[in-house]
Amino acid sequence: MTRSFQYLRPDFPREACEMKAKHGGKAVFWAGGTDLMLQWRRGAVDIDYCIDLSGLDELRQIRSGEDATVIGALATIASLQAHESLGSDFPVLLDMAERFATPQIRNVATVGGNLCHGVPSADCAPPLISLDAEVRILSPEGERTLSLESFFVGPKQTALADDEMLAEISVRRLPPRSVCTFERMARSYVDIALASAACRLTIDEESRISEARIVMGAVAPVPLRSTGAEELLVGIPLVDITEGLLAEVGARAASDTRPISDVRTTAAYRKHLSGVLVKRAVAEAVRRLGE
Amino acid sequence: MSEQQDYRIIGKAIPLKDAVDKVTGRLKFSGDIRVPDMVHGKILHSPHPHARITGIDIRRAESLPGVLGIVTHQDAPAWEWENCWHNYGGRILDDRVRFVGDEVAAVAAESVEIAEAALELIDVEYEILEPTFDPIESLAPDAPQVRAEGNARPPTEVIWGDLDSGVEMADVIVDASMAFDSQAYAPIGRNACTAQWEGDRVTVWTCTQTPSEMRDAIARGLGVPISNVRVISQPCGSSFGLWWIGSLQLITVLLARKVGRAVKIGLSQEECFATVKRRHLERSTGRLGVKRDGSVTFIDLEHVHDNGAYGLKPDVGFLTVDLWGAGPHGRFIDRGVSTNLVTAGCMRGVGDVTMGAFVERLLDMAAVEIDMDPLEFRLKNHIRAGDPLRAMEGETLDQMDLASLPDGWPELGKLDGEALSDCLIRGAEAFGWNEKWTGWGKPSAIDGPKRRAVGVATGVHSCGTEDEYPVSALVRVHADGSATLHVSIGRQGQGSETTQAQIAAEALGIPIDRLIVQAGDTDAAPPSHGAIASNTSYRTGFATWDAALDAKRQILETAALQMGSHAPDDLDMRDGVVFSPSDPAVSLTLEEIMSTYRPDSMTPPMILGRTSTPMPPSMMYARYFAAHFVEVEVDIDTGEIRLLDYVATQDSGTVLNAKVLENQVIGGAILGAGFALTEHLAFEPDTGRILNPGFLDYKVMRAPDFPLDPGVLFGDSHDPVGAFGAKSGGEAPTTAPIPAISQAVYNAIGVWLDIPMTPERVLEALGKI
Ligand SMILES: Cc1cc2nc3c(=O)[nH]c(=O)nc-3n(C[C@H](O)[C@H](O)[C@H](O)COP(=O)(O)OP(=O)(O)OC[C@H]3O[C@@H](n4cnc5c(N)ncnc54)[C@H](O)[C@@H]3O)c2cc1C
Repeated sequence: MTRSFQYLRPDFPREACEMKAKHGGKAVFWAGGTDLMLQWRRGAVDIDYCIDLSGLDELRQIRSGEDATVIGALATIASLQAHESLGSDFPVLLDMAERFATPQIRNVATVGGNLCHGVPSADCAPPLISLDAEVRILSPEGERTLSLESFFVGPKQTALADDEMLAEISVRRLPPRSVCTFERMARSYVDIALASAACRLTIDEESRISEARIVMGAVAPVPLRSTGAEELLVGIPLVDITEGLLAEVGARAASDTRPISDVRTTAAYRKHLSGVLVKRAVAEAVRRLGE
Repeated sequence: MSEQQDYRIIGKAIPLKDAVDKVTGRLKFSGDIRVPDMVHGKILHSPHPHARITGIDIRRAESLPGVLGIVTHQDAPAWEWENCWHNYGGRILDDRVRFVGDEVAAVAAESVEIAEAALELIDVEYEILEPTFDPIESLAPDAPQVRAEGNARPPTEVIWGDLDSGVEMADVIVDASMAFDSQAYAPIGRNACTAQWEGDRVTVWTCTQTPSEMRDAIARGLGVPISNVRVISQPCGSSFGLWWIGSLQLITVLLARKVGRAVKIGLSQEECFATVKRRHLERSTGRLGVKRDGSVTFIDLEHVHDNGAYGLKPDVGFLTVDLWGAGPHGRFIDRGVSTNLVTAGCMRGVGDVTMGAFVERLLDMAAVEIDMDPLEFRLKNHIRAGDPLRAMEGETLDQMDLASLPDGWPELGKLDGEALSDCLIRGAEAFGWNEKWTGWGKPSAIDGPKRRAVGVATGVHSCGTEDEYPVSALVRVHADGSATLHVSIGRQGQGSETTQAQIAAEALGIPIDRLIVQAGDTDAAPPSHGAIASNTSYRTGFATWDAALDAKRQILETAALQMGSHAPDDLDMRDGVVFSPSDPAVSLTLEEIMSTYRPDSMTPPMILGRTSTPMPPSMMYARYFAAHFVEVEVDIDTGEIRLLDYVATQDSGTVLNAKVLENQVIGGAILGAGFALTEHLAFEPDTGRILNPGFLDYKVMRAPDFPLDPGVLFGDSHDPVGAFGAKSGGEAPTTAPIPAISQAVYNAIGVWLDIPMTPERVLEALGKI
């Protein structure tokens, strides 16, 4: 049942955290509201205090620096697409954004909201984790930094304490000769991913894979990295990557998954699909590195 | 069609009459209605699939400030209301609940929030009964019985020829079975009902395709004369059969009477999906025999459909028998069965979407065996004009002597006309069938895990039905020469107001912008069968045409009086001007005629044209057809099926309005393709509760999921009975997508699948998961 609530609009990030600290569990941060609105309508969250983050302009920015790009938690998915250099620095984020919801939703949905909602299917997570993204977290007392990989704790659970807020996501400039790819499948054009996979590969000067990241979405309680699959790739020269190895990497990644069966699909399908998507993401990265 | 070129309005792609209002947000829907002094209602739904209500205590809820009153089964009449076509039979509120979501009580309160809060304060005691969900298991005599009548409806059977001879004649016999999940109506707009009593008169604002039937049901149920009930049908986002007569309206009317205030109940998306109706769960088994030359020797089919809790349909229709009944021997049996799932009823293309797809599957499997191109196989076997309609053979017409039919009626029991071959041939050409067809089970292209292939299939539907209600219209011509058409068809968004206006304006001989359509007020429109079963263009269109001609006849008689020397037969009217074809000097505008008062004429200020010619029983001779072509790409690693190209053809007789019909055809193809690939309601195994009652997890196809620019072609035909030769439009296009797509999928990957063909089902069939 929908009930009325108190509406609060902080002007500064810290103020937002203070409001949250003051009002406790029944206060929520409202970013784009595209997840919250559905939950609220369904009665899945109780809201006594709604802390509207839309006044925190500084957290809406995307800043590209020498070493890193910093994406404000309130940057919308559409703003990733509109940014002048993000797309050329991290084309995978454009690939992801293009497949994210609809233009209308992308105009309001924020990157921070996507991550803080904490669902394993969140599309921003696999590419950003594969880019070794870090998150800056604010609280009334101060701030801390965490790897995005460790930000996810369980389904709809993140490392954020009750009075903490996600401020920024920062992504280091990639080493040279790096490529990052993203694969995703859903039931129809606008849909939550049934499974997704991101892959980043970096090669050294001898065209040997020096670093690999493989991250899957929607197949475990949290976005899932498969170090086992990554290890199969590290040290292998590009030219030696065979169809057989790709299949092995996919199978290894799939074996790490712990998917559920739900109304969207079965666990068996998700497991199988994650292997296929990982294989494709890796194959595409290898293809692009070979170009 | 030589006659067509003279038409002023028929055949013109006139934009929808309410298109601008719709896209600018001006159009008011049932949820927008507000009447003075109105209060808000909410419905309490059952959490149990099957239970008896042994106690219901409303005192706590009633004492909540702001609550005005509550209705339960104790307030409901013993009378069992019935929806059209056996889509519902039951009390308005009963002391027994039969599915999760069944209505238990309704509260009226000063606000929606108070009404919602009050629902939680109603204390209901249930005696839990054992539920039954599976259609086949529910047929067993020892299954829990959902209804007093028992679960199983008497089987409906169509038999012709002699099966044994058909089996003997066959060179090849194939057999198969097929299961269909349940499709949701998936209404984009929600419905609401507002009821206001003034003394013992009630006015109801709601969306309904069947305003007349709803009016009569309310009158009967609430025990008031028909004259005291006024239904004003509002536009809706989509209906597809969802909004006929419903518990929503009957409960609102009951509640408003009890509390003595106008009451509005608006349904949530979840309520629209999970508590009203859905398509049946269906199971088909059967076999079919062919000779090596491709002729069908027999069809033998057994079908089961679940009616859910309150549906009573004995069959889902046998129109597909008509389409494929040219063979000499056949048998079709359909059994309806009650389950403790939400009521199932007629959804767009009912029966032809499912049973039709199954018969097409048998045809395909036979064609595979004799290695005949599916296009050629269909061209060889489909029904032709003059062929018997098998499902109609032996049918009689109530109260009518078949030996002396009225003049001009088509021969009953035989198909009056079709252009299906034309559709198949021209569709194949537009699609490039001959270039793309590479043989059964052979993909036309392979790219890594991706397999491409093509499919073709046909479908059919009735051009309305005469069984329940006549059709009728009124045309009022006003003093200034403008006119109003009154028809009882509601406003479900399919463009009927526009096409009915075209028929009326053309028949009358006035410009289209001089005529408005009043499509849903039962106080003004004569009672007429609603916009269901593809009635509207064909049957309502006939009534509208007849009423407009009646008005025109009166106008010409009046004009003849005014013109002195000319007999009415000498006169005609075009573009609002009466003239004599033989004497160019003579002309009067309609306005001049209508505004001249003569003591010897009743004319001003109004002429009333009404339907007086009975519409022949179209079930007994008229059908309209679809033939669709599709190219698919199946990813054998992910199981994903994508549609690459689509051509839809349709034999709808004269095309009244190509834009309107094209929308129906594409919309129907998308609805059918959605069911083929993604759409299905998920029922919780232990409770039958719907797990995906909304667009988040009920996946309809979005525009990018369907080929961007599908080809649409219309067959060259002209119906001898329908208004200006038009037949029907909206349902046949939903029937061909499933068989066309599943044939293409077979050609791509060599397996036949149940519906919908989800990625999991593809991979399971390929043994990959
Ligand atoms: C039609 C539709 C399609 C969708 N398609 C996709 C899709 O393709 N892929 C996908 O991943 N998602 C999709 N979503 C889900 C949703 O749009 C995204 O998760 C979106 O990014 C959420 O962002 P938001 O700003 O709207 O979050 P909100 O709804 O405002 O917030 C989500 C949660 O995060 C918390 N929160 C928000 N910002 C912060 C912060 N800075 N610090 C701490 N907590 C915070 C909120 O309190 C809330 O719990 C879709 C949703 C809809 C309605």
